[in-house]
Amino acid sequence: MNRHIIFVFLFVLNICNNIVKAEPLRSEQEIKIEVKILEKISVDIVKKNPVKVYVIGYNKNYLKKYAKKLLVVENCNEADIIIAKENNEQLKNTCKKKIPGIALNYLLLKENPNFIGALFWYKGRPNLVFISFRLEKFKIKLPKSYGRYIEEKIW
Amino acid sequence: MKKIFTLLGLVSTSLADESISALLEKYEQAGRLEYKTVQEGEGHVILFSKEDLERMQAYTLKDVLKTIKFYHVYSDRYGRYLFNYSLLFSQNVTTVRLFINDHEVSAVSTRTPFSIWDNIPLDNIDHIEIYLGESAIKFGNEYASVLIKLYTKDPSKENVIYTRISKDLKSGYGFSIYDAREVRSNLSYMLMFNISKFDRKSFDSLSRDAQIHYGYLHIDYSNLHLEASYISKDSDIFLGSALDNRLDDGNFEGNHKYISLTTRLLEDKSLKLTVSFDEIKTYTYEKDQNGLLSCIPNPSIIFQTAKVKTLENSSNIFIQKEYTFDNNKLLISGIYKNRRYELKKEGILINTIPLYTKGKADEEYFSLLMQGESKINKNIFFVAGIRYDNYQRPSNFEDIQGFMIKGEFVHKLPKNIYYKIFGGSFFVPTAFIEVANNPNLQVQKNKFITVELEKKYKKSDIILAVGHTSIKDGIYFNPWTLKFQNLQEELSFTFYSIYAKLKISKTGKILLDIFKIDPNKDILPFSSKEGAGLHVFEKIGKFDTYIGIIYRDGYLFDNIEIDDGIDLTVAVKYRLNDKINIGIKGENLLNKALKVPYVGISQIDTYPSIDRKIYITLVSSF
Repeated sequence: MNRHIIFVFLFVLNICNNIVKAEPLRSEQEIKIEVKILEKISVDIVKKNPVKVYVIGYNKNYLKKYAKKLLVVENCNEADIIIAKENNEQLKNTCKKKIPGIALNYLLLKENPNFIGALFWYKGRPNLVFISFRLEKFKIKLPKSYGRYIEEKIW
Repeated sequence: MKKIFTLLGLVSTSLADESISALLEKYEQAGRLEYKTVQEGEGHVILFSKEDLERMQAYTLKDVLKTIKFYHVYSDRYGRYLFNYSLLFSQNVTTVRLFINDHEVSAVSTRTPFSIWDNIPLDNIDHIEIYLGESAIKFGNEYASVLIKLYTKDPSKENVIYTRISKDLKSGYGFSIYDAREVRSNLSYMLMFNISKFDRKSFDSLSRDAQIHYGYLHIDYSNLHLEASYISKDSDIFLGSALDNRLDDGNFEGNHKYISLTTRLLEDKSLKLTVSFDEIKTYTYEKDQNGLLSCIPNPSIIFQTAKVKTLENSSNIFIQKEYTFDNNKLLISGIYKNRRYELKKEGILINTIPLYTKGKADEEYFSLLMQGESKINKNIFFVAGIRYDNYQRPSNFEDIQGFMIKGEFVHKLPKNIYYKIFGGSFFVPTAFIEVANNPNLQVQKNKFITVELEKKYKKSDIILAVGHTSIKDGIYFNPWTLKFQNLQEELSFTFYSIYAKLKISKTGKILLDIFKIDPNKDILPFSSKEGAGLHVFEKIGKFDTYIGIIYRDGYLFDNIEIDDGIDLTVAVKYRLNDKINIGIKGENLLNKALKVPYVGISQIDTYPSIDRKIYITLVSSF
């Protein structure tokens, strides 16, 4: 049993400095396409170029690297759109203005009425959903190609 | 299932101005786990995707393994499903390595996963990669003639509570439940439980029913992956080692638990480190008035009752560093394993005197690997690897050491024609159980070369393969003497296969494989030399369908004629909605699956390994 403990100890020592800021392992191609989807949605919602984006819980460097039509801003009130993965305090405290948001998990879409749509994984497949009454609230009209992704209700 | 040549080429890099639906489709493709896990340089890969497994209604490992060309699944004397090269009928398959993600599950003493893991449920499995041949050396594995990798679903992409209830028309059932989800951006988990009862056909009083309990935990925190699993199995043991092939009574209980931690260090995540621990316990009880043959301690002792307890544990470290240059990669890895094996046996002789045997053995294993991959130009790719393995064993066993060498060359010719050449020289270490049975057993030495020619069309793919293997000091189990032995003569065989894949619609495909093995001597008539598989997958409206036919040719075993085997499986699944589906599956519907010979002291009995069965399954995901 002692040798087991030594192994664990050495292992934890080795990794403890590396995990805190680390990202989950995803391929560059997956990240690149994800950013392209977020870019396309943002442009189609806001209908301007570049779109000013405020980001919460998502790696800004991905957007800076792969999205030419998105401009990441540090002040939420300057943004045209919010891209968020987490419903944290930052969102409540910093965004005084009502800005439409794209959620990266479905729970966030459900809980926050300012989120008009979500891009999330379910049963191993990506899902894109927009909620019609929330789009109307922000007077957003999406191109026809989004028709199949617009739903009346939140599950 | 599909043969993949290059996955990376499937994802276009041109993304500008694409429709949202096209982007989502590419996003799904790029997010598939197999894009990250399949290693083309490790041999001939057969991939079962998530969709394949769902359509086949493959809920246990045996459902997948029985379709693999060149190999066969058979039930051994203890009722366990073993998986081995088609020519061979081994009682102890030591050369098949089974992995769950990065963790290998094999018993220390027998070096096989199948005594406990033969019916592992596949509900939480994303895809299965099967590496045929001996080229797979870089997964932290020891020697493998075939390497099976089960990759669990990525919990961050599931976000679901899944349940499955399966029932056969007798008393067998399977129940699985898992919860897999992303808690926040760098934390996700999967927790799964399964309980299954396998009610298999009995022959007179000979039963091989089994029951398993399985638990699995998986946590991903940033780039740290923690995995823990527990499986227990309780089964009848069919013929066991009864001399007369009519075991009076017997039971097997075993469990295996492990914990594994993996992380990728450095900025480019090129340094992979895994630490893991395993503990395996087994208890086997057998009773027969006419006597049991015993492999341990001495093959000549005949017991009436035998009770064997084993305790095994293994502590493992695996470290791997990958250096990437422009068109080249260099991989250096090291493995260290510290294992212990304990055995307690109580045997009661015919004259009622109990005989106690106790044994304990420690083994230290370390291995160093260096493997280079080079892209000479966009059409030529090669891999070369060398590995040194060292097994330090107690003084009563011989230490083992040696090198393994492998190479692979891939050339893309015009008109989508590819050819691949694999080759290598390997050695097969002996397992404790083998050297305890026969201390003079030598390691087996293998050499092989395989040439594949592939032609890709728009909707189809054809691969022709031919290969040659030579085996020196081949280890085999002699069913007449119940001893592990080395073959005196060098065995060699040439093998051929044809594989074709045809896409018949957007959601349908047909796969066909035909193989033949041609041994240089007719000295191992233990199983089929030829076989074929035909698999049809299609989606029709709300129905998912699969039809599979597996053919294995008959053979003559010690004047016993074994008929050709045909295993027909049909699976139909109806999707009630996005969350619920109902399936029905029939296995071995023609009741003509290949039979297996079992040698008794005065007779040879034959029984089929695969039962004729109908299963009804309800799956829900919320």
